[in-house]
Amino acid sequence: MYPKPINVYVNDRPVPVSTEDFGKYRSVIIDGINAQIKYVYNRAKEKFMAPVSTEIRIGSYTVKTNLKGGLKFDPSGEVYIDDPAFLEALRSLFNDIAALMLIYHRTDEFLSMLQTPELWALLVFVAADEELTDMFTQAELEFFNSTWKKTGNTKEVEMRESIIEMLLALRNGQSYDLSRLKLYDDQGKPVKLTGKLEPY
Amino acid sequence: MANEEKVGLAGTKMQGCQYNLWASDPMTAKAPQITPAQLEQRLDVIFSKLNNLNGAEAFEYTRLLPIFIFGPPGIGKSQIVESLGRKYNVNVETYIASTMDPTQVQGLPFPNVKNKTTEWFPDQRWVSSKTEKRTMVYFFDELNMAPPATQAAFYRLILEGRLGSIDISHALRIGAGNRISDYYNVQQMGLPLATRFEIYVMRPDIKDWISWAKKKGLNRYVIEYAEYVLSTEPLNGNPNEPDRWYCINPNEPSLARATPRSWERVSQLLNIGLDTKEDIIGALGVYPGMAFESWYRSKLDEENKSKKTNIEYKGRGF
Repeated sequence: MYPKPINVYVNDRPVPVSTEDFGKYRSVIIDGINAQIKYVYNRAKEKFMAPVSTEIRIGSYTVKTNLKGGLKFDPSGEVYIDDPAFLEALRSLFNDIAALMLIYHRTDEFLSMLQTPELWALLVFVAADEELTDMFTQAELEFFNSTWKKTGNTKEVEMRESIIEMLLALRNGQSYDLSRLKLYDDQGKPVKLTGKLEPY
Repeated sequence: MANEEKVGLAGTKMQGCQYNLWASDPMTAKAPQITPAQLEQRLDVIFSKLNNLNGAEAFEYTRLLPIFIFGPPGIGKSQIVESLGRKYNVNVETYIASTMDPTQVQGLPFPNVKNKTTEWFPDQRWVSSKTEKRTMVYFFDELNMAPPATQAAFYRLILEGRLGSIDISHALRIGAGNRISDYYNVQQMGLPLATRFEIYVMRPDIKDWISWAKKKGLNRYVIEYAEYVLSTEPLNGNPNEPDRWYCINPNEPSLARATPRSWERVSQLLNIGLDTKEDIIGALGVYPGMAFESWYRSKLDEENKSKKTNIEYKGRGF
């Protein structure tokens, strides 16, 4: 899933923002997304948070949660968002956050979003939706790539890239040979690992 | 003023409309003219009284009150009758006389071989309306455009309330039609007949229409234009029917005419976003349509210039 351009409303008419025009609407978009993160978080809290935690069996595990809705913990082990309007609001919000990185290449603005505590709280829900997770992961990857490459420290870039490669392989259900990891110690000397990691 | 070239709004060339024919119309020249609101007031009195009468009283009341409304097309004759019907819960049966055959009025002759006579079988509508429990009003629209034989049958029915096996004497009968000067295939009504009717001659009235349009919530541009036309000098000399607003000029190049009914249509078109020159001219005709379109565009431009641009980000609620 790839994000769509962000819409701003000019006299109530939706206008998809082009890369060239981002600067023109920057403050409206950033203020708007920040306010929306807070709104979605507070509304989710008000709507889905229970005063006491309950324990839920998922397969062979027991999960303790203080949610009374929003997420559905299926006994089969599947977890999904059970409120369609909430899912749409999340998709719309994370579309725009991901678009900051993937369409408009706004690293600083994306970082400022990542530093918002409410956003991290919402990631619990994002993780329950595969399409949202894919989109947000792509945006994070793009963010890390663009910031690390700016450092000029090639060893650090190599190291982080190989860690991401490992994580993606595991996420895609493939095993990963640890000897492929490129790691360096404090003195900059290569560190070799052996063994194999299997996906969950 | 008739047929003169005039310069309308924003330099639009307008050809004048022929209004002064009112004075020379052989049917209505002598009759006092009333506005739609005045007609509505009068009919309101008649309808409200009718609604409170029993059968015998209704018969006596309606016997003296066959009504005929003359007026140009599209000014709301039928609308007034129908809306009063709704107001007083009176059943208004409307017949478009111009589309009817004489046999639909007086019935179809059918031989009774046994008695060696002819029976008249009435049209189904007359029979079914007899079962109606509510007070009845029969409204015969476009009456003077009907074929002469149909008209003759209708006039008897309206005046006497009876024709053959049809009996509508308990109900109020109202006829309506256009004037000869309206360029339709109108037959002149003879004086002996005309004198038996209560005749109202209705003329369009822009002020009446503006208050009606506001009450009905028509599109604001259509109302503002009518107010604008009213506030500017009338081109035809009659302040109540400025020709940029009401125009049934026979020289109009398109078949469309600017009438109150057409303005209601323009309101609907603007509301649904159909506001091109073609849409407007299709409803109003070329000359009034061009004048309105030109005013409407400059109004939109003016508003867009003065409007502060509002830019916002809208998040989705849940």
